[in-house]
Amino acid sequence: MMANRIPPFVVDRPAVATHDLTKRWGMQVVLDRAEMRVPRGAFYLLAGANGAGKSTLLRILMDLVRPNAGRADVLGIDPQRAAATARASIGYVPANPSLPPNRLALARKLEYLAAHYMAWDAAYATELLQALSVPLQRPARSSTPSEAQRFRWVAALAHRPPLLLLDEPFAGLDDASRDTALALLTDHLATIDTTVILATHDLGAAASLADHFGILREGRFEMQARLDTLLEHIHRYRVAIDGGWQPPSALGQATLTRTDGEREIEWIVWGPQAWAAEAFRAGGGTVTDVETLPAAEALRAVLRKKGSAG
Amino acid sequence: MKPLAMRIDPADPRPIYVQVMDELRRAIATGALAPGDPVPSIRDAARQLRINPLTVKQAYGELEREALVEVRRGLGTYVRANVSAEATREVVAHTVAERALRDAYRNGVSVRALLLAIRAIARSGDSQARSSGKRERR
Repeated sequence: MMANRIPPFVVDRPAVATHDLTKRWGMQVVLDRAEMRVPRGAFYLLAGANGAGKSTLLRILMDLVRPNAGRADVLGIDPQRAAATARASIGYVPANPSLPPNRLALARKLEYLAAHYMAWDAAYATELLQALSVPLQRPARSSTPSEAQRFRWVAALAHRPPLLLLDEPFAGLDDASRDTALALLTDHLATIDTTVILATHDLGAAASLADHFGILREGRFEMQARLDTLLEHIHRYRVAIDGGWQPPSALGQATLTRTDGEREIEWIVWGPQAWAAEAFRAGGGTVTDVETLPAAEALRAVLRKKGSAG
Repeated sequence: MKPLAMRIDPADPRPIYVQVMDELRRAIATGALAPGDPVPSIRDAARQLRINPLTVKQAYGELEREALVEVRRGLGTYVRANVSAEATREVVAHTVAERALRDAYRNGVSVRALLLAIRAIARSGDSQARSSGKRERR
């Protein structure tokens, strides 16, 4: 019984793909033959626990880390062979960014970036700097983590790249800067056909933007799908029960969370609604309510359940 | 164009594009948007709501199929001139009633008990006070 397996989506020419991607640090396997498929123009939420391999995967796409086996395809380019070409099309906000501990003012750092990117838009960069209140005269070594992250946002957007790799890009920001970054991100998406990969725990903000998602667990992709497909397959059921209630074993694997009361139970179940309702009836229960879940809550339920892809 | 007061709730189980559609219907029903008015551009709405522009596009596309708005090439999206606020109010009334009914079932309240309660509240005249209080639950 694999009712909880959702149909995989078929991608013709993915913007980003990884094939058999494997990375070990010593004895530890960080990525284990990871197969990622990100459709062109998708806003792809890369979800997974700490240490699931999210950051390593993004760093391989940037060729900041080399895999032990397998390869990546970034907009038709193999970053291991042509890192500079790949990076020219990528805006990257790394996790926990820091700036080199030198006395170079951020203004100078920005000049280097402007010279580096052919597509750098100086006027736009100025707009971004003002919007995110980046202190340009501050030496790099005395910038706070928040300033470093806001600077990275400017660097990522100012060359208007068709691919954004965002690794916990809101983690170091206060509420106001986070909100500004979100607004700038929606502006970017409205201006350029962009593919976004966002790795984050912050499912709240991400779920309002994402249309695809992938779940990395212990270095492998447990699941990748369209977010609306997931939402069609997950429901919260409230069921009235009495003494004759027999929990339906058919739902075992497909049950993501359960709260069992004396006379009423509430389960989040993954699978076709008619199938689940029938299973509850067969167990002697009466379904009193069926609800779809908000995207963030559905993702959280799937993430919490170990081995939920069956 | 002045911005339109819209909001969405990420914790609401309605898909976000449906929430955007409901917000525009609400604006037409209350008169905040009149027939022939431009609706916010996709970029502005996405920025205002902090959502994906593709989601706004999807919502506008659905509303266009429902003949509530029309796209004027190169100009933007407009409320169709022949849209009636009255008819939209009827649609909104159905949505509100559906929500109330669901909430009633969820709370073990019958249709009859719900209707009686609505009539009693409307008669006692404090419905204004209620609606100006907390935002209605989903």
